[in-house]
Amino acid sequence: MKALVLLAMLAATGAKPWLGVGLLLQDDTSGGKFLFVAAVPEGTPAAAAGLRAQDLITAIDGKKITFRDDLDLLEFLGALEPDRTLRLRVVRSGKTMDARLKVGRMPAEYEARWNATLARARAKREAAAKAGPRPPRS
Amino acid sequence: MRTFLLATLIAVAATAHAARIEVEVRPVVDGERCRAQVLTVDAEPGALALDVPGCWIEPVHVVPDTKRVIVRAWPVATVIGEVAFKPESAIPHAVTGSFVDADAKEPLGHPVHCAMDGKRWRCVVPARRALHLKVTAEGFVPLYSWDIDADEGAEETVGVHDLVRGGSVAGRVLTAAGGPAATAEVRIVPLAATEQAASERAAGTLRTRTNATGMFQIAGVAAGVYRVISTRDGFADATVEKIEVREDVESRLAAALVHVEMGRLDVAIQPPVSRAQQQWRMKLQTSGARLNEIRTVAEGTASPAGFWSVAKLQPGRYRLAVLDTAGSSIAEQSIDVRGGVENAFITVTAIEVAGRVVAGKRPVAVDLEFNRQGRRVRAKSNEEGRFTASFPSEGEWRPTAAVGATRVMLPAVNVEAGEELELQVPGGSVRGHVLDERGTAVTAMVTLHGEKHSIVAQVPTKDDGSFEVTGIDGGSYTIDAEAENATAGPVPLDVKDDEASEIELRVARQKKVRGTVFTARGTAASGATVRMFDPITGTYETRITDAKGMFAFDVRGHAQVVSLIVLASPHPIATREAAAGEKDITIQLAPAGATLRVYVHPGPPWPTIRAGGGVPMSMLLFFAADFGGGAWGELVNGAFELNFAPGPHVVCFKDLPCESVQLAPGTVGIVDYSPARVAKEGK
Repeated sequence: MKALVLLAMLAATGAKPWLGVGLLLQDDTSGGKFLFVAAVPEGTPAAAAGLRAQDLITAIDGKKITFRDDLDLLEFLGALEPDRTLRLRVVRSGKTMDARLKVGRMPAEYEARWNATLARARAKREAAAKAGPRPPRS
Repeated sequence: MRTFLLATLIAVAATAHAARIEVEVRPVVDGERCRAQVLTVDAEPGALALDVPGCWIEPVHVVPDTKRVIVRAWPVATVIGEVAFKPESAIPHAVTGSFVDADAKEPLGHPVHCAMDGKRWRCVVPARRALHLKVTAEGFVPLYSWDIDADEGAEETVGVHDLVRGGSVAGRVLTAAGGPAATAEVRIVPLAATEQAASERAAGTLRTRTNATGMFQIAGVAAGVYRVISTRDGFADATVEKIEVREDVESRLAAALVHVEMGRLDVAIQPPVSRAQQQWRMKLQTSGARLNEIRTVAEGTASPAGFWSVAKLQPGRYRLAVLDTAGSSIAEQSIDVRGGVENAFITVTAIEVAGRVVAGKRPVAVDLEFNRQGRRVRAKSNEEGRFTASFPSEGEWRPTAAVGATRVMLPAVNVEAGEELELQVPGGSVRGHVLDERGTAVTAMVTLHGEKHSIVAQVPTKDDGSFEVTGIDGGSYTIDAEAENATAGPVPLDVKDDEASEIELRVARQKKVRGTVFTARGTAASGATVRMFDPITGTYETRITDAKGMFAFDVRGHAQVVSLIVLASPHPIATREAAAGEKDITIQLAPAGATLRVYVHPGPPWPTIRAGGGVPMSMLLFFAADFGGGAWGELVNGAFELNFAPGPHVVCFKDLPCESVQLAPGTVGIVDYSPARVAKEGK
């Protein structure tokens, strides 16, 4: 579980993007995917957008969540432009609502955390690629 | 007809501060209508622009008390063109433009007199002078026409400029000698904060070629940060990192991209061949585009005289390695390659050592790997257990043996020239078959676990369902098999030293456990955390309920009952037993109850909690520590807060006395297992 946590507190200093939200990429029971909001620290862009822990994000800018793995999600987040506004479709206690999240700029102290998250996601993808598909049933 | 001036040459109007000065007009090139002459004008200090028939006059700056100035002049030509806007609906109110001197390293940006008629424009420009035209419109990327060189009196048509929205990148590419690098291919690649897949990068790449003066422009670029790469046949790539492109702005490279010659590396190895009289295998590597990525640039075999050469190398830092016949690196050197020829001399001081590998008392064929301070040596033993290896240095090396699918760490060995190595790998093994419920062989992944579920070995079965795990120590293990949608075990297994244990694993189909979590009001509890505890494997799995409050688990084939725990703040934690295969499970969360605050050390092991009904909740962990608080409770000032139903609860931690807490509705119960107390009272 721990390895799945994507602290989208995007790193690097200066003009790098920052959402300030803990996200988990999850499969739903209908074959789709969603993002689970695990944590929303105070004072972050995510908190300003009204996101709360236990929210689900089911679409970003009108597009369904289709990230194939954690690294895919992190790459998307890391390429966001600061000051851009994301339109989020949010499900809270079964009710759907919209939120607008303005991408912030990364405080320097989160950089190490972001890099570690990225390294874990990369290692996980490499491990998955090495493991290959499970053997088919004869 | 709509007419306006892009920028005009007008004589500065005389004012009360104007003074009479002489202006000497000096044609830079001879023209029929533009001749040398001296004019007398009234001008005030500042920019002086003159309208001299037949001449294009370069603007000059007049300082106070000037009596005479010299201005450069060219004959006049006309350039005609048209602008188109994409999208048409976004036609700007104004279009501006200027000419720059193609021979100047920095653009001069002299304004010229232009008139517009709809989308067509006419500019009066200096003739017989190589110029670039830059057309800009607010909200659009500026565009260039390169190298306009019109004769006196000529009307030069430059066609249509398609102005598009977005940013642009422009610059110049030079040779190492400082001349223009014409027809170099220039491309820009978006740089994300993180790495992008190569295909994504390629899709976002824009490219063009430089003109005869080495200039280039790439327009229609989306805002972002880019790497600019110029490629020219036979020369090293020239790159500029992190060029920021913004909407409607032209990004010019501060310095030209310069192509230097490709490098060549000539290597001489001493001694020229190995002691076994074999030619050296060589490998040249460099760092790749990704962090920690190592890319092999060249591989080959040195000549019998000990020479190896690699041509067409991009300048940069390389790692040169000499390999033995087993592919082990036995000598390495870091080399900086610049343009031209780089020589490297590398001395191999490898020590060749022979050895033998036995499993128990039997010699075995294994793949060996020795490690020491980041260096790696590989070897392979034959059926008689014999191997030879080339070590770059003497000393203590740590061997690893791959016995079949099992990798075994062996005790460190001391490598000395002339000394033979004796390696002992564990002689225990497990072999068997994996079958389905009808006794038919299946392909599966077999996993052998040691203490605390650690994975000792993992092997796929063959087509007949058979498998073998070798090179393991005697002891107690568990073994399981996982086929598609079916699993077997885990079952306990004792392995004896130097003996083969036999086992048959029967897989059973996995079953689903599926259900829905509802809030106390009966709405779907989306975002609830559901944990499933499998008592056979002793492992947990976690799901987050989706927008409909639903969750689903795959349960191992032999499991009969699993435990479910639901966390959804502020509701009390809910637990439920579920039969393997049970679907349509409904878990109704209770209204917000009471809170239990537990002061803990911020890291595992966590206290265990026994709820009022006596249901053991040792599986209930304080998730929050992993995530810094949030959905699973908050770690604030050294304490977790979790929601429970009112009633009696027992909290235990390590060897300290268990605490009994009676939680009343809407209250906060406190248990102190803080580091201070643990340090004071713990054993």
